[in-house]
Amino acid sequence: MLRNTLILPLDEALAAQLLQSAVEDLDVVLMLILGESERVMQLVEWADQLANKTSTASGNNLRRVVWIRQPDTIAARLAGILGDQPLPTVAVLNFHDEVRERLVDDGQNITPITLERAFLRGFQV
Amino acid sequence: MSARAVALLLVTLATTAAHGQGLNDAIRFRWEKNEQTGFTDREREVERFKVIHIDVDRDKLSEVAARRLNVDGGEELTNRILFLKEAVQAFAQAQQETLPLLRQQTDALTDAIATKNDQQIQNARAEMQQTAAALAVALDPALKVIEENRAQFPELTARLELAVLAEDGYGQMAQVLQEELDVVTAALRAKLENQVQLALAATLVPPDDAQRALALRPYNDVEQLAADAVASPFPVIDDRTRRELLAAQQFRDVLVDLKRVNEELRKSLEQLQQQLDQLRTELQVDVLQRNLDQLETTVKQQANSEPIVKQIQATRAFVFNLTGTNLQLTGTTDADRLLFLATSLSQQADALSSAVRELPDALRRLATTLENDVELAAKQTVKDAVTTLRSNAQTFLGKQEFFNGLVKNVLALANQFRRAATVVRSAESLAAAARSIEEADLNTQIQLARIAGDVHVGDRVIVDAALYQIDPQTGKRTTLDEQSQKFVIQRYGLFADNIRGGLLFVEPRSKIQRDVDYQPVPALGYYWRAGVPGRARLNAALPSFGFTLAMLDFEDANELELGISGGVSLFDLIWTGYGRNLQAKANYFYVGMNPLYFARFLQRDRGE
Repeated sequence: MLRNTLILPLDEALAAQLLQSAVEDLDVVLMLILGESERVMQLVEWADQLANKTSTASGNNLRRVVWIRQPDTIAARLAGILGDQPLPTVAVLNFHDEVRERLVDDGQNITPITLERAFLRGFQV
Repeated sequence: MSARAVALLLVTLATTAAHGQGLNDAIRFRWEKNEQTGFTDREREVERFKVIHIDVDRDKLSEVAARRLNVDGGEELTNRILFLKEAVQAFAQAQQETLPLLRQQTDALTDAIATKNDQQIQNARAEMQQTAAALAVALDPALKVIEENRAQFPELTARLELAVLAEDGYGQMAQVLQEELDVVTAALRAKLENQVQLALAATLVPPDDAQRALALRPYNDVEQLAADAVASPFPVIDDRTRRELLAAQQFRDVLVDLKRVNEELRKSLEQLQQQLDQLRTELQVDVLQRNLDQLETTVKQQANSEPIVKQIQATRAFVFNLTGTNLQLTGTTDADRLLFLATSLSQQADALSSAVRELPDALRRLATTLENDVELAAKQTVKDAVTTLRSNAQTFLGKQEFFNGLVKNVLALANQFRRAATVVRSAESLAAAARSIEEADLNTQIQLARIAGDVHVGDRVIVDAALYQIDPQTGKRTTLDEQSQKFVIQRYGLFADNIRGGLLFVEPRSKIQRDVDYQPVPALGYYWRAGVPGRARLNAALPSFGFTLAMLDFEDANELELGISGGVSLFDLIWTGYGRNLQAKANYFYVGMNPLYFARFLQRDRGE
């Protein structure tokens, strides 16, 4: 069960709206995970677990995961957030919505340790 | 994952981890409210009746040894262990302190947002972000190393990757790393077993260098008091007082002797010169020398004369020593003359002694070789020379009681100067205290209140430490590291010093029977002094106040003349004051000194 992950709907407009809303939250570090392969699902599961670390008893959390299953549908919006470069598999935005980490998965190179470091990068202003 | 694999892990840390500093890393001092890791050149002060704890970090010792002995890569291994320790600490601290704080600040920020108070929100946000950034800075370096070595150490990495996913992931990572650290250090210890020893020794160093080893269990079995000594409100006599009085007496004897040097020297030298002249006359050394000159000229005209000429020349050299010696006393002061006596006259005496010893044989060899008229003359000369020289030398030496006494006193003073300086604190004595670093308890302490014998403010306590490698085959000991730390003993507030022995120069200030001019007398000083914490140098310079007792000699009629005076002592060295001779009923002024400090002062002046 994903407790800290926002799964964007496939509807383009709604997905764009929810993403915008997530990005505008100043008080979270966002980990965007793009794709819908089994490998990506694994990454989402890890990221969600890692986000538990900062979860409070009141339900607040500094870490949040956004799973973008079909990035092509909101490519323009993503380009606005991540820049014009090719889309990564994982991207991390800090508290000020600046991109702090871009990871392109080759099937092996991203591990839980890699994702934890990516979250920590997001803590750096 | 094996210990070896872990030991090989984190290779990249070799260049990034901080390097250890040998024994400086492994030994920590604790005394009163102070702590110091490692050794410094700075002299630390410690109160007289306190305890100096010496804590030994066994793991650090292993690391030092591994580095020096290049075990499993030496430097790299110790850096890996250092990394593991730092990583354990970083993750544990994150789990126990930083994360809870961050969660607390996250909730506080949410609460602040609910208040819609911008300033409150801004402050809460800044605090939260600051803590989050600190967490990242603390953990990222270790995570980077772990990630970069993933392929090389898959098993450990897998455990860490599993751990990091847990809700208390940082705590679990700390636990995994701690387990690996334990395995690595245990394996390292096993490799170093019986190969590494640590020695600790503590020495009390008074100003006269009468050093004593201090009890330091389990490194030695030096005896100490069964119960703590306590401060006396009144000055007390101890061994140091006795040594100071003895030294004062020796100083006094030398000073009295020095006043007689001129007269005695002149008398003795005249005697010696007369004896030498008489000796020359009896030996007819001038005739003998002329004969040897003539003989050399004659022999040189013959073939193969070189060996004989050499013998003649050697013989003539001995004769020259007898004819050439003219004793003179030079020097403008008594001290200069004494120095001359000790050096120049000593050399002349050596030359004469050598002549006495060698001349008979030289002449005999010459006579045997030549087999001519010289032989008979030489034999007779030899006989007379030996007899006369021995007789006169013994007579001379027998008459030198004054100088013998003077030399004895000077030697005793010299011994005060250099007494036992290196015997107690030596490499050998330190090595004798060595223990395997695997032994149960390496920690120790110096209980200053239980030091047997005299301990005074200003004495030094020196802690020496050495780390050795032991060759398993030969048992040979090699020093890997050596350090020492000096403490100076202090007391604070107003306190009674121990009774001190001193040498006073007493100048009468009343009319007395005898002609006394700065009469040197041994004395006892009863002093009170003060000490300020943290100001050891100032304390040494603060004056002590009290009174002195001295045995005086102002009048011929009185066998016992006791002087009591009030005065001050400066720098533990100089005494001055004013008092009264109770029997002679005369006042006096005095200046004086503590002889042990004076000896130390002279040593410093000479750069020793």
